[in-house]
Amino acid sequence: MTLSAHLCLHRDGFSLDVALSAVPGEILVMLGPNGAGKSTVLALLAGLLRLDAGRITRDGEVIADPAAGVHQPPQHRHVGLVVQDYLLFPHLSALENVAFGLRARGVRRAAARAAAAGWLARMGVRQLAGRRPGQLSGGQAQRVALARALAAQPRLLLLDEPLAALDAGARPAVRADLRRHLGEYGGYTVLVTHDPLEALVIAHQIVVLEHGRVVQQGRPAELARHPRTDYVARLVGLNLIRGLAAGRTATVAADASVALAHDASGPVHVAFPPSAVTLSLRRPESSARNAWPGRIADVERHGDLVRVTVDGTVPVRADVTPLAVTELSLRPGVPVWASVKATEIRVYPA
Amino acid sequence: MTTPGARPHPLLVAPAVTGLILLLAPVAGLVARLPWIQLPQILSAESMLPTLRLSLLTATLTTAVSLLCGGSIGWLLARTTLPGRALLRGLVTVPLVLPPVVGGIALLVAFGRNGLVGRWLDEAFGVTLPFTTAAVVLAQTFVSMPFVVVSIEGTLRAVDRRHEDIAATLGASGWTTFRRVTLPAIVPGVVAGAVLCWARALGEFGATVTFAGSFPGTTRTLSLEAYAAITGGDPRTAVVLSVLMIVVAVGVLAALRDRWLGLR
Repeated sequence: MTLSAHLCLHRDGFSLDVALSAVPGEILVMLGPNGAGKSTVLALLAGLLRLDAGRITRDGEVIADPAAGVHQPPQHRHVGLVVQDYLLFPHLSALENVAFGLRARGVRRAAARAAAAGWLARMGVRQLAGRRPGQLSGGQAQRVALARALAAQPRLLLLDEPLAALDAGARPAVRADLRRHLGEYGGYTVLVTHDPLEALVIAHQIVVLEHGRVVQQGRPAELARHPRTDYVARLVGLNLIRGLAAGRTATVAADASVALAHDASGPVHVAFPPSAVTLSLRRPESSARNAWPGRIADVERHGDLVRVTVDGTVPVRADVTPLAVTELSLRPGVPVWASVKATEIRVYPA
Repeated sequence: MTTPGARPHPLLVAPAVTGLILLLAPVAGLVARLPWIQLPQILSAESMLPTLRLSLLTATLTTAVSLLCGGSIGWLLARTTLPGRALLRGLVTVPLVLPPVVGGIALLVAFGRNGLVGRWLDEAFGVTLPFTTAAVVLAQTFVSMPFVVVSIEGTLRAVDRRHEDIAATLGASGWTTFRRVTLPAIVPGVVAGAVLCWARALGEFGATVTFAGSFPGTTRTLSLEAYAAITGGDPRTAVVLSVLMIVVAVGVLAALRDRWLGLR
């Protein structure tokens, strides 16, 4: 029981080549910056776009395989699609929207409406059955859109930034409900987002997409602990440096190395949190510390702390207190030393 | 920013009033000159009912043909990537700017007994179009179909096609999607196009008289009858017919406006 897909598509300068597999009952979250190709992946899975090459199989059944001339049209794929702006049919009531999928599959009107009312009730919006989409708030429309997708009993549920259009106040409640409903849904779920928090909270499995390629995938905890690209490192709030390790030293640049707490060898990722970085104006005395010279590129608020970006042979981000910023006069352009204890550094094979 | 209820600029008042007089005075004149006493007699004249029926019948047939053919053209223009679409769009809208009499002459050249298509129709099927009721519909369709094409193409372009994608994922076939998602979305445009088409057909004169002639009972529509009356020295009948056409056109427009266009 798996959904496995190898998706290739080339469109005016953009190329997508993604392999992913999902298990029923688990939520696969696709995370990536705008333009990474996330929505394209959903359109390919839904059958709204045709593969140039690759193959999609679900529970052993081939859904798309251009080499064999197979392309199941969307209406035969039993997919549910929920998008950022919901796209409820504007001329139909909430109830009729939810009943649409059942009606389209030949269920009689009364039975379809009864089932739709049940779904609205499960989403906690039974009282909105008679409303037109134009009379619904964002959170309400999101619930109706989810009900519409689930009522059609999809075997694959696709969600494209389902929470992105909500204002910050409404999002936590809708997110909690979404998580609950997705937990109750037993089919395959692929959710697309650019919000790392959403991904870490909802996902069983995360696939990170950049420029049409998978750059990392794994369980959320794995991603948070061992990021493999700058994008992921930034999302989970870590400094990430690539290097070549030998013993307790990793060479990260021609004239810079990192002292490690444990032995390692070969190509490695070196990661440490910005809070572990200390900034000073002179080279630190202690030899146990890694210290790299650089110049401040940016200073910005980061919660109660201040995040300082240092450009140098080893570029790092450091979280320091506002007091430190004033005492050391940290401003863009100021030369500083960034130092990190070896014990604060995580090393894992690249 | 314009303030609602701002005082009208004095320089705009005079031309606006002139324009209103220009538009409304003729209509007011018609109503004022309506021969109320002879009205029952004129309206119950023997030729009146067939003429009215012919006008309504041809305008309605024209609208039906235009919706079917013009709607299909609009769909092709909006939804396909046919090569030469821009040219096609230009050609289809030519009748909008063509003098109707030119349209009538062109139709005669094409569909006349010796015309390009007409000769073939005559030889193959023994069908001759000019000076028949069918010719009236053809002439009216020629001048009114572009309204349907333009308005349906425009509304189709404005439809968010992702709604159709969603419908497809929900299991709807192409036909179900069209019937339950696309059609409801374009209804206002379809109705607007049909109303314009119908009104234009009802008033059509130049192409009709050129291509179909003015034969009582078969091709003499209300506008042709009104023209015959005014040139035949019967201004009273001409006025009555004119007011009748105004009433019919405005009545249909008002009825549809409330029911469909939501413009209240």
